[in-house]
Amino acid sequence: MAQLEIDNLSVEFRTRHGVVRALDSVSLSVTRGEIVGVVGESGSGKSVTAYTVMGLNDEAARITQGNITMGGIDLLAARPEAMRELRGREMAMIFQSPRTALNPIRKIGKQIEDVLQEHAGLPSRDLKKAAIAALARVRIPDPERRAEAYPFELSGGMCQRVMIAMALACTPSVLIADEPTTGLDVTTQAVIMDLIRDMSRSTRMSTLLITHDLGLAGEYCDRIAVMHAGHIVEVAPTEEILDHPAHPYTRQLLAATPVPESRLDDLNSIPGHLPDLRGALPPCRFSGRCERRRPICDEAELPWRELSPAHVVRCRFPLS
Amino acid sequence: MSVVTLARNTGYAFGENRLTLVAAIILALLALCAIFGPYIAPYDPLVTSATTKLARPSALHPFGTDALGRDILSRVIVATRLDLGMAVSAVALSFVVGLALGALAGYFGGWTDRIIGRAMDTIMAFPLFVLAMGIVVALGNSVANIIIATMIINLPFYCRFARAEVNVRRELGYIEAARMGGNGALRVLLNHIVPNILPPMMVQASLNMGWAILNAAGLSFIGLGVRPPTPEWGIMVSEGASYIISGEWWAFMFPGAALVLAVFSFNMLGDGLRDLLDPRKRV
Amino acid sequence: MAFVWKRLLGTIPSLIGVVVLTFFISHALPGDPAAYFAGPAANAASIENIRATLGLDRPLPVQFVRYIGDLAQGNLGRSLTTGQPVLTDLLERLPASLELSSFALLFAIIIAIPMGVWAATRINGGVDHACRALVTVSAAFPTFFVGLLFVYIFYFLLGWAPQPLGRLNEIAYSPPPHFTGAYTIDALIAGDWPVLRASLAQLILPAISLGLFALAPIARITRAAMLEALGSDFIRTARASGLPVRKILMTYAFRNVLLPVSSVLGMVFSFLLGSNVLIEQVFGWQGVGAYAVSAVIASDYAAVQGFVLMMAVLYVLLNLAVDIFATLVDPRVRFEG
Ligand SMILES: Nc1ncnc2c1ncn2[C@@H]1O[C@H](COP(=O)(O)OP(=O)(O)OP(=O)(O)O)[C@@H](O)[C@H]1O
Ligand code: SF4
Ligand SMILES: [Mg+2]
Repeated sequence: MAQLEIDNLSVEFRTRHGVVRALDSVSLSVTRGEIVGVVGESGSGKSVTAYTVMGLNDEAARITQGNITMGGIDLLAARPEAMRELRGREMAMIFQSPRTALNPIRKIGKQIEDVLQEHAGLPSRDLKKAAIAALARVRIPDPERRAEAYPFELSGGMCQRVMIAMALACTPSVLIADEPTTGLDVTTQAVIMDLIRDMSRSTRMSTLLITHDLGLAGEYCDRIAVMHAGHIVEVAPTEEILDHPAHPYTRQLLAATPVPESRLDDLNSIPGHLPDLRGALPPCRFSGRCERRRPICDEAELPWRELSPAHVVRCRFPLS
Repeated sequence: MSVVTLARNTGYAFGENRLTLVAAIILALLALCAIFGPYIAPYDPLVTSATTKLARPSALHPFGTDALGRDILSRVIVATRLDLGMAVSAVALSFVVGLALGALAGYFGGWTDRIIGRAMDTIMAFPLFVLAMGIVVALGNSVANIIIATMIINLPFYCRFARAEVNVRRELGYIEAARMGGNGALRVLLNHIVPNILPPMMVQASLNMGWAILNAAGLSFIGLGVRPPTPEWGIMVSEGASYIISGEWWAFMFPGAALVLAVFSFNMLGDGLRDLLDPRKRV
Repeated sequence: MAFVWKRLLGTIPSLIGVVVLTFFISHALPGDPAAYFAGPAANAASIENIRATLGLDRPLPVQFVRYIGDLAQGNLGRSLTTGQPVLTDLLERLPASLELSSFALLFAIIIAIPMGVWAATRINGGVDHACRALVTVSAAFPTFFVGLLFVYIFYFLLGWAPQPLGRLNEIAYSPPPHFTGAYTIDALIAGDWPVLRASLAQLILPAISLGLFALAPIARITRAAMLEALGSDFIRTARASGLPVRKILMTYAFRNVLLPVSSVLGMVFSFLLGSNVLIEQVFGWQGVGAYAVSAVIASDYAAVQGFVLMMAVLYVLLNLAVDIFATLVDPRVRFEG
């Protein structure tokens, strides 16, 4: 069984303007040491998936069906206090804009110590040393001195390393990285991504990498899941999905990503918009934008097609 | 937007506006009192009576009478002119003077800016009510000087505001453009800058009115400016205060309530105006 | 500690400004100080006489130098009503005022901060509404009126509070031995419980009526800042790291709230020092404010100006303290200098 299993998960938000069906029957798994990418346009539900796994969703969120397990533990059935103990120890998350993601008025060493103190069960005199070791592990030069720094004294890339150090301080078995390199320059991006890959290989950590950047996902992920409007529309090993995309949306994503560095949100070449997730939705949420659409696409239940054991697609007329 | 949310939003907006509307009505009534006070008042506010000292509120004297037998209702009504008058003139003066100083500072920059800025900082370095006390005492104890003191302690807000706005508009190129058209500094200020900064400053002024009323009333409460037997809310509260411990509550309560009513209405009106002008600033 | 020195130096322009403006108010405004100093019974000749002895017939720059010289020696002039040097009068009464203001501030902070935090964690709950109502009410009520209302309700109607006749019922009790000048603290030091109780009883109403007005702005800013902090990215990180709720609220959110709170304290102090005058007047509290009011009534010119100067200096020092506090809380301020 995979380390992280998301099975048939549906999440909706009750808002003042109606119910937003943000996730619908999302299934995804990550095994030990594997890096799985989740790509898709803005608003496709990548972050909601991540937050639901972490148990950090907004109060307005309702999980209407599905299961999430981590190392066999049923996360959706866990009590809040149990979830809190898992966060930071067994599963960790890093975010975009690392500079605001750190407490601006607390020394970064202290912030790592806070996590260690809560989860590592170390005597308090060893905390400082452990925090410095965590900083050293992400190859921050001169970690003793950096531990005494405040976030505003560090660059964005350095702050993201600190975030990673903090997330990995207790060697979690699952890491969720939600656009960890957005806003960083290209060289720093590569450094951060190399670091995440090395960490996940060396500790056999299961990593979910959420990104807009298909080029980035192609470079670092073992498998890629494509999300569209709350659905996962295609999952396949990286090579396969890059070479033989089966879902029309995946192909458009690829077409919109000619060079590895370009990001999806820079390119508005995918025609149409995400459907409004509040109203009635067709079985295939992409049908409004799809060139291959036929009447039957809007009628019957949408089947999963298995193109190979590892390559599945949610489309009635996949590209071959 | 669904029908339900539309209805809810309208209800919300109406609820907000209703308070503004109530405030506007109260202020209109106060304005009537201020203008026609002496004609509306049932009694002469200055006529004393040895027989009706400290009479409880009754049909004859709805607010009761004070220690000299004067009708409190009449005094509260007649005082409106003085209380609102002091506040309105003080705010109007600081509005005009602050606008002028701020616009000059923002327009010319350099030394002008530095000197005016320093002066405003210096005013702000005092606890403002205490500074007002000092000014009234130095200038001489009169109503006019209360107005001047209240004007001075209000000045920095307007001045800074006007300066910032002028600076923004200069950066936007308004001034350059007008200068190229061959206009003098004063013309540019008057024609291009002042009209743009008036609306937000009006909101500030209306929010400031309540504070100015409190301030002027506070000064007269401690015996500055207004002299007995002139009816004025602050001094009436102060005169009524001596009778609280023997339970004659009406002598301080009604003028105090008038103060609260006036200040509250101005605050509500100011909030309403601000929302009209810039709904985003609502907290 | 370099930043403390920096802040100290930063107050110098304010202090100079205060001294210059006070001089300007007392010497250069059109009112006639000589006539005030001479008192109501003076004639033209004695006024001239006083003008000459005070140096008020000299050019302004000369007067200014003399003014500075006097200040440097702590000479604020002599009070007409008490006949003592103004500085002596003021220093004698200052502890009473500080006692009142400090209790008011303490009361305000103790209530306002938990109230604002609570309101922010439960938006639209009871405390949140109370918080907003308090802000509206305190913006519309004159302090002196609230003080009087409290006297009417809690002394006359309910009989819970003692008669508002100052700091201690001196018929029943004698003041505690002088250490700090604040009766409550002195009574505590002396271990004189009855006097401590009696002076606290006198203190409660004025402190609360004054404190209510400091409470509202502090609660409002605490609520707003707490809301902002709770929605911030670093709180999300703290939650994702599985830190306990208490730690998230206190160490992460709350410390970040202290900075905006300290930034309204300046306004709160300005208000407290001003309203102190009115509240002391209402409750017969024998502090510097009440002294200034009687000086106003008696046209005791030097006393009033001395009071204004002392309050301004106090205010500058309080702002300095707030600044240093903010610097201690927030490293960013420290580095910006
Ligand atoms: N708290 C919330 N209340 C209501 N709707 C929400 C909330 N959070 C997310 N949503 C909705 O859920 C959908 C998915 O959002 P999500 O943040 O997961 O997108 P994303 O794929 O992470 O996009 P991005 O690339 O911009 O981060 C969006 O339509 C969004 O409007
Ligand atoms: S199911 Fe039909 S509409 Fe949907 S993507 Fe496939 S072809 Fe297009
Ligand atoms: Mg996202």
